[in-house]
Formats: sequence, C-alpha cells, structure tokens
Amino acid sequence: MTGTESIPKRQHFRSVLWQGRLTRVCLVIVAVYTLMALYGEGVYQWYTWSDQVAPYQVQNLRERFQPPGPDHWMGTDSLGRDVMGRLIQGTRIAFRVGIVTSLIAIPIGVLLGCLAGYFGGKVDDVIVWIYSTFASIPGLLFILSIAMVVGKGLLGIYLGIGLTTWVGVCRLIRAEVLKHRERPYVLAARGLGYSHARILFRHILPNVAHIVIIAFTVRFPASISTEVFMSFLGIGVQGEPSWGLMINSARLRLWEGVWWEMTFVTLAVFLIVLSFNLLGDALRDALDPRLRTDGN
Amino acid sequence: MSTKAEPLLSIRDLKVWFPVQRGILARTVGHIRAVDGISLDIGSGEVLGLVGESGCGKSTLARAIMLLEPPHTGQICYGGRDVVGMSRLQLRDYRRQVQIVFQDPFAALNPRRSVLEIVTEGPLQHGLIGRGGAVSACGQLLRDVGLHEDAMYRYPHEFSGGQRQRICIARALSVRPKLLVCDEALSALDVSVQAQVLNLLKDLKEKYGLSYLFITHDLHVVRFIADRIAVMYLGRVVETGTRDQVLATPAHPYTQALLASAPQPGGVRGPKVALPGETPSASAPPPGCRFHPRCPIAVETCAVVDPVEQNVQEHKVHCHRATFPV
Repeated sequence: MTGTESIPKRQHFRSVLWQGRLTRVCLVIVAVYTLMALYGEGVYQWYTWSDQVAPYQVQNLRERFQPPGPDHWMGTDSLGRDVMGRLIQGTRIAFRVGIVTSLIAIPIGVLLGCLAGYFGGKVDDVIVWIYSTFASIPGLLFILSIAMVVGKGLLGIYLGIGLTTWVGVCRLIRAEVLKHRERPYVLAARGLGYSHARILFRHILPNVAHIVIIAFTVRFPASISTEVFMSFLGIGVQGEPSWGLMINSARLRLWEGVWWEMTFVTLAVFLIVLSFNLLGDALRDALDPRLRTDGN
Repeated sequence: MSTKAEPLLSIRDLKVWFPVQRGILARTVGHIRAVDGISLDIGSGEVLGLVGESGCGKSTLARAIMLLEPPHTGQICYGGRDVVGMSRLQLRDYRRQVQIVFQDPFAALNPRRSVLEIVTEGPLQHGLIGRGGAVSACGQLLRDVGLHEDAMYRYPHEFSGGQRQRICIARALSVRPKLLVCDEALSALDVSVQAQVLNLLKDLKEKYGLSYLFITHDLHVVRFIADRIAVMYLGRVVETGTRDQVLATPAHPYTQALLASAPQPGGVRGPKVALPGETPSASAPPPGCRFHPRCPIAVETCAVVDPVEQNVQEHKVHCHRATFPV
C-alpha cells in the first residue's frame, strides 16, 4: 500500500540492534565509556567533597614522561601525572559536554522544528530565517565568540555548542513534521476538533521522535570533538583534565618520543566518535528504514 | 427521504482555490481552481453520492467541508448557520458533528496509538464520555463496526485494510456525528471487503441516524447506497438528481459518457461514448462550459456562455444542450 507501514514494535528494534556484530561492539564500547565517565564523576565528586588533591592531579616531577608500565598503565605526562587517570577524567568531561549540549540543542531544535513544520506560513518563514542565519555563520567562530562572551570554561562550552547546533535537529524535525502534517491521521485529528498543541505533541511528535534519538547519537560525538578542539585551543576546559588539553600538552614532547599520552587520548576520542556514529547509523536503520537514504 | 425540509448541510457557490506562486517573492501568478463554484444540499438522513473522475475536486470539496481547507469564497451552512460566522464553541460542535473517513486506512490511523486511544480520544476531548466509560464505549463502538472488543488493546499495524477502515469508521462515529463524509472510503479495499464495509455503512446509517456524503468514482457503489447523486467535472457540479433519474436518464453529456464507460454486470453496455482529449487544467479552465472541448454535442454557444443551472424533473443540469427524456 503506502509507505506508512507502522514501525513494528520493540522486539524488532532490539533484534536489529543486536543482529549486527559491529553494532554490538559499538554498544559495548559506548557502555564501557559510560562506565568510565560515571567512575570518573564519582572519583571527581569524592575528592572535591573530601577536599583532597585527586590522584590524577598529583604532580610528581621525578616521574615525568614515564612510559607505560606496571605503575602507570598509560605512562605519565610532563608533570608526572597518571595519563590513565586523566584520560578517565577526560571521558567525564566529554560525556558532560555531550549530554548537556544535547539537552540544550535538541529541545530548541525539536520545538522550533515542530512549530515551523506544523504551522507553516509566517511562523515557518521566521524560524527558517533564524536557522538560516545561524547556519550561515561559520560554526566554530560562532561557538568561540559565545564562549568568549560567557567566559572560558565548561559553561562557555555548553552554551557555545548547545546554542549553535540545534539547527540541524530543527531542520530534520521540520521536514518530518511537514510530511506528517498532511497525513490523513493528522487530518482526522483536526476533523475531530483537537487542539493544535494536542495534535502536534501527542499525535505528530511521537511519530518523529526517532529523529530525536538519531540526532542525539549524531550530536553527541560531534560535541565531544568540538570540545576537544576548543580545549586544545585553550578556550575550553580550565584546570581539569580534558582530552583536548591532554593532546595539546602531549604534542610538545611528541618529537622526543613521548608517544603514549598522544596515542591513548586520540585513540579514546577516535573510538568514542566512531562508535557513536556507527551506532547512530544502526539506530536509524532500526527505527526508520526509510531514512536510510537521507544521509546527513 | 426528506429533501424538502431544511437541509442538514448546504453549500452555496463554494470555491476553493489554491494559489500558484512563483519567484523568490512568492508572487501569486494564478490559482488552481480545485472547487470552483459548487452548490449542494445534503438532507438529514440522506445519502448524497458524489461521483466524478480523479482530479475533479471531489476530495478538495470534502476537505473544505471538514474545514481542512479554507474556502476562497462561498458558504458552508450547517443547520442554517454559516460556518464562517460561527463562534469557537459552535465551530467545535460543527467539527464534532461532521466526520470523515479517508481513502487510505493505512495512513489514516496513528501508528503509535492503540485502538482504544484512537477511538476514545474524540469523545473524551468533547466531554461525551468520562475516563471511566472509555473502555465500555470503545467496546460498544467496535462491536457496532463488526470488530471484536479485544481489538481495542492492539495497534493499527496488527489489522488488515478492511479492519482498519472499520476502526476509522468507529473513530468517526465515536463523537456521534450527524454527517459522515466518506472520501473514497472503499477504493483502497479488496472488492469482497468493499461489499462488507458498504453493507456496514448502510446498517450504521440506520442505527446512528447518519447522513452521508459519499465520494467515489465507482458507480456501482453509488447505485447501492446513494439517494441522490451529484456528478462533478473540473471543479463544478454538472448534474444532480435522484439516484434513479441520474443513472437511468442522465441529462448531461458528461454523465452519459461516465455511465457508458462503466462496466455493467452481465457484460451489457450501452452505446460507447469515447470522450476526446484530456481533462483541461484546473488552473486555466476553458471559457464557457467547462466540458465543451470534449463534449460530443457542443455548439458555438458552449464555448462562450457558461451554462446556468436548469431544473427539469428534479434534475439540475448545467448544460446548454441537456437532453431530457420525454
């Protein structure tokens, strides 16, 4: 008949996700990272609460540039700090950035996208104008300027990334709502006299919600790499171990053969971004096979 | 049938035009005249069959009646009151009393909601039933449309086309409407299922005291269910009359051609009238009679003067050369 076959329920979703071996590996990797981030958060909170210097901050100049060994599995950095401990703390920061920026960007994108797609006309014109304006400014410059205004540090990163990346989500949601607006089930709901809010949020939104999940898996790694880059430039995280800061400091001694800090951190970034992106693709297939050709 | 009394729904000179926009400033350069001056009455308890080829504006008319498309000009009067002048509350009541069943039962049900939610949301929103009465009301409706009560806990994708269309009918009936617009409600179904749903609609009409606006291109369906028939061509109604009059003694050459093209049971067919050419575009309808470029009996007047309605034997025909039976 038409392409509106409803998506079979959860068992299908699960089986699709578990069937691909690659997807399963990605899920496991993401799970391991999540645990690392939670562990890192726990460690951080514990040492903050007990007012001690956390082990990953302890400087020991006599143990500078130790290669990986039994004491330090991933070696030590230029101040003799344990690379593995700092890597785990970097995971914590990365996850915070990924989650918080998604929590800022996705609601804005979903709300504006819904309104633009559903009401059309003037509302649509205004929202499209806004996001086109945002999209026309080079992303990183915009993020940098927001971060400069709010000040260096995590808050600047949250706002900078969060307030600029809703555009993609908004666009996707708008297109999808536009498609659903003319579906007979929506027309029937209008014919039954339901309010616009009810039709939009109770009827249409659940049918476009898969985009939110997909958008999250796309946004998350993108935010992480942006954070790494910002911290690398020195306008990101201050005073706490972040992957970007670690790469920046590791780069100085790389030519002297201090390979371990750079290697392990870039590997960490590479793995998480790759896993999330592959997982996003798998999720997209599982949630909506028709989206497969969209590519974004 | 009470066609003499005050009609339930009365449409006067309704036009639904869609602007055609060009350029970056979205200048309006013309209009698609999907519905271009239609007047129709639907009496209480009456079934009006609306037939016509695809693209002639049948569905647009249905959507205009459902207030899903704003009319360009013209009136839609319900119970003697124009919907344009209605207050919010009256409009809400109008929306409740006029319901629609769509062609495609696969797209007409929200895949994320259970049948119980689909069927009871309307009456709950309109305050016709309370939360506590939802399950029993839903059960009753499902029984009325020939489904098992257990269906209410399932989701649309678990049903066949015919069953889904029954759910759509139950959803429409849930708010106790007076008029049901069936927009090609049977076209997407298998023939055997069509017959079942058609019989169901006929039974429900008596049980719920409904009127139907039955839009279709299938003349057999109209023959079975309609009291009166209106024939549409290119945004206009060209002929209206009682079922028997229109089917037995069509007066408009388009109706004659339409009837002649329909296969008859038993293989008997009347004289074949093949219409030359194609339906003109609704954005630039021909002057004079819309049908004249394809009409087998057109004369010069037809190309110039738009025919007015003629009343003969309760037929209403828009044609200069209408041939009425003696």
